Amino acid sequence: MAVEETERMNDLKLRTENLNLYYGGLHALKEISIDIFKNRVTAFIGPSGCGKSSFLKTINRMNDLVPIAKVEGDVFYDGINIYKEYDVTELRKRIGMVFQKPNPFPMSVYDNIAYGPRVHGITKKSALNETVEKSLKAAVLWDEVSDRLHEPALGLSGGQQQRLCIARVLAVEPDVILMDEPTSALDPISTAKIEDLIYELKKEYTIVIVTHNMQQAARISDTTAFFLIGEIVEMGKTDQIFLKPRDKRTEDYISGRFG
Amino acid sequence: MGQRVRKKNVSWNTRKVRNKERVAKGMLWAAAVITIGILLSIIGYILVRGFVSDVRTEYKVISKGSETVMMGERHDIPVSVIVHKGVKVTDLTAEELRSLFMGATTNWGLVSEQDMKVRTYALRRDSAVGDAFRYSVVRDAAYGDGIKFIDTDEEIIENVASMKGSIGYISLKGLERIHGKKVKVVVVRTIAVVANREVLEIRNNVKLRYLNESQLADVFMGNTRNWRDVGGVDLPIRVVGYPENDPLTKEFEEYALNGEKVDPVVTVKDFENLSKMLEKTPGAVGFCRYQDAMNIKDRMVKLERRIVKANITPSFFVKPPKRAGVVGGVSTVIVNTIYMILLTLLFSTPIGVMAAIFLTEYAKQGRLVKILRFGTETLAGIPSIIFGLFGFLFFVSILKLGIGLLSGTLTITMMILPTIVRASEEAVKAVPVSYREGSLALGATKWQTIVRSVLPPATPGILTGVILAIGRAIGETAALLFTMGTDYRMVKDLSSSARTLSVHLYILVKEGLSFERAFATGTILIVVILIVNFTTNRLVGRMAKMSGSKI
Repeated sequence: MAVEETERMNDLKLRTENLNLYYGGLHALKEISIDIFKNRVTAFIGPSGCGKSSFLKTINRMNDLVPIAKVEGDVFYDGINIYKEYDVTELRKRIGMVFQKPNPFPMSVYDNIAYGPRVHGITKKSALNETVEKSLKAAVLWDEVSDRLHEPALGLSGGQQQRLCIARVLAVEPDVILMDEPTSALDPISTAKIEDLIYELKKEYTIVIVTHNMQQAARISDTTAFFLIGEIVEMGKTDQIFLKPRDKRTEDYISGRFG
Repeated sequence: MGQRVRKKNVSWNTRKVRNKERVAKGMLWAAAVITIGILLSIIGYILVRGFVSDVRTEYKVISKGSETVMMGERHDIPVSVIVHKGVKVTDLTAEELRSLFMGATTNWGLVSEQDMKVRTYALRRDSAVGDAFRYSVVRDAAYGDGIKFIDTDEEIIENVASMKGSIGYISLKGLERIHGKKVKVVVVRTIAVVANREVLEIRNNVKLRYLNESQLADVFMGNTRNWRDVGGVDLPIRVVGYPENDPLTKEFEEYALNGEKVDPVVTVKDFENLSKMLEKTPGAVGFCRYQDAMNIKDRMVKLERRIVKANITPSFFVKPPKRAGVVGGVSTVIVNTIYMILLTLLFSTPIGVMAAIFLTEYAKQGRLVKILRFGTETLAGIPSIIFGLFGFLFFVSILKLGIGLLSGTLTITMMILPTIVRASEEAVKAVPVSYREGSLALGATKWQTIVRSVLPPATPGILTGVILAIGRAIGETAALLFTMGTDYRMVKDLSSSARTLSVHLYILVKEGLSFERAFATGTILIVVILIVNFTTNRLVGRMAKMSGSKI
């Protein structure tokens, strides 16, 4: 693993050790051992079906929903093994996730944001109002939806819906935000807005993003990992990966020889 | 412009394909038209019969009569029959009048469909009018026990006006005094048609059953010459009449022939001669006062009267049924039906929805679930009478719940549960996985996810299943006969027997009580189901609109 060892250990947020993932007979992730650091944007790139999204889902244990999925190895979050010593709902509260396709609930904008706080037991109206406003402002959506908080969220545009989903994650005050190709279903303008947002969010959160778009990874991430057929080929500072890849396969992928 | 040119360019194969396309389209159209036609005609027929009653009743007297009837031995004393305004009759036959005054009919039920005691008032026997009435109405029989004899017209009017269900009679002079009083004059139909014995016998497997109004007119006006033409035996019609200026002839012409003249073959002076003439002349027919012909009742020709009127009236909804449902409305039956539906939904919806959630969200999708699913599908197709049998043995006998609301409701619950489970399962499955993922990723537990983000979008689908279930429950008779019973009174508690609309309809038809009421009940059933469907559709639409989702 070619991560720069200059990082201080107390900046370490997530660490995986010899992580293997099987979908039935398919060995989807092979011996993944990486470190993800605080207040950084870590991007995963790679061709379709290489395991980027699957890896993301092992971090907040969304793979538990897949009946045939089996995880081996360890994932540590703040030094705690999430598969052995962590309550899954608490984990997901701490590690939020934004999906590829905007998936707001079929309810009002307000109820979408308040969903998380509500399931975690907050019922006080004033507290909810405050959270909704704070989250929408943080997701740079407040100005666009402040006058239609009680209208269906599905009436928003795609880009707005995705920022709403980010705001929804922010409302439960997470520590880490996982983003699974958050802009793949969006137009360039919406994409630019989300990218700006990610840049802002990294000051307070640790962000792990899967992207199909190499330019996006180059633009927004601090660290980049290149996945290929369930393995990490190379991981390092984004500049280094894009400018001076050490592995031939990384170079081939970045230069567009396959992908 | 290029239409014709382009046609020429079309290849043979394309043309063939196009023709096939046309044929297929035509057949689909035809099938759709036939289906919709059948559906509409069935519903239309039931609705028409439900709203309009077309009753044909056979009487022994002609369909019309006068408000003032000439009575007495010489038919020269005018008498009018009056009733209290609350009595819903417009006319009475001579037979009914006789029965009322003889005390044989003590309740208005069979005459006016009202549950009301009959009170009769008559003038003293020694007065001329009283004597004439006695002669013309009760003849040799005695007055009923409850009758009150009164001296004057005024007093009769006062008495009839003051007591509900009263009936009395007054002279022509008294008629001027009824204005402003709570009484009304009733038409009395007194003319009967009698015929020679052979006319009414069965011969060559045919028999004259009845004459309707136009057939009667045709017979007496000479338009019909043979009994065969009105459904009777092969005999020439010979009309025996009274002289042209006889008051009875005039009355008969006015009420039965619309003012046209009787065309008699033979004329007789009085009833005695008429009777003799009818006796010896094959194919003879004549008319007379009902009371005169009482001794030869078997030779009276039955006359059909057709009355078209509104079948469902507001009172049909608000009045409870009486006399096995022949009289009154269906109010209690409607209430019982509503109780049954509400209780059934109370039992079946939570269980059904929870079972569906278990099957889709929690159960391991293995063999057991497959068997369970197969089981529910099979249960949905089992004839309801089998559920009735099960309910009777299990709930009524083994659990000793007795025949009543609870047993019936539980049986129907068993019956509709599969419908609700299947629909709910489909609805829950149709909720996008992304909703579940979104919720779980926010740290919600599985149950929170189901309650907050799976059930709300699934509700329209679940409601659709509930409507189907309501439809089955409302239409159910077989499963209820053994388990809920057929008492049409309002239910008092869970163990009291109750009758639903469908069961009511079944009994009305099975017992031959009243087809008119059966159709009225059927119409109400259809309307109820329409209302349920309409409101649920609106509800579902509004819910979908509120959430903004399209599923």
